[in-house]
Amino acid sequence: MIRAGIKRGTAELAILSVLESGALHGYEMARRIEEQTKGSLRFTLAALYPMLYRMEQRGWIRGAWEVSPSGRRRRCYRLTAAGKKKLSPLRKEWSELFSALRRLTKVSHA
Amino acid sequence: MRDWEALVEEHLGGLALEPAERADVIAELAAHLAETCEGLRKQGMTEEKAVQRTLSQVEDWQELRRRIQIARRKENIMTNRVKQFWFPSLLTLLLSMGLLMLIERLGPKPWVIAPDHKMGWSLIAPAAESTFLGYFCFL
Repeated sequence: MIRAGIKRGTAELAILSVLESGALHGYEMARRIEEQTKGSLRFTLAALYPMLYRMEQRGWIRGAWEVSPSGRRRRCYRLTAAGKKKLSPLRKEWSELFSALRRLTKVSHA
Repeated sequence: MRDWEALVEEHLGGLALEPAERADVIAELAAHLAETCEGLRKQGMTEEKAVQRTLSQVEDWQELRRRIQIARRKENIMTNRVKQFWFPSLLTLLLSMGLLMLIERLGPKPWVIAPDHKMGWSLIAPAAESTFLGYFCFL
């Protein structure tokens, strides 16, 4: 299980990545992140929404109310142009960090 | 069936946001809780257990309220600041710069300071003082 501090740092990347495939509402977003990370990353409501609102304020995502086929109102979020632009350097940054950590742990195991 | 909206409103009713915005947040979080509970029920959980698990999504409602307020209000405060302070300030600065350029081009040119052999430096044109004061009064 990944610890809380790292989870916080990767949360933005996880949300932007999962929204890359299309608009999603909060519950579905949390479900997909958990499913795709095999349970390593889990968003509770308390963790997810303040993050979504902050990202919306920054202009990376935009939320809009939609009505599902079952008639339920949901606020769906989609990536904005700024969010798409942000995703690429974020991915690179985290990829570099994980590569560095992998190298470091290999060295210390040798 | 549980009234999730009433539950969220009970905990987050004090959110310091515009009424419409607060209603949106409450509706959104209630929908999330309702779907979580339904999902757990579909997995075969009993109603009681599903509600318990759903409620465990928020350990501290007060902390959630605080975090939502910070997340949603930060930019609004800045926008108001921009409207109420930065734009008028910038406009005043630009106007005063323009006025200063006009005064320099068209107005009197009284700021001549020349060395006085006996007293050191002396101001030659006292009219400059009144122009300078007038300009600051205008600002």
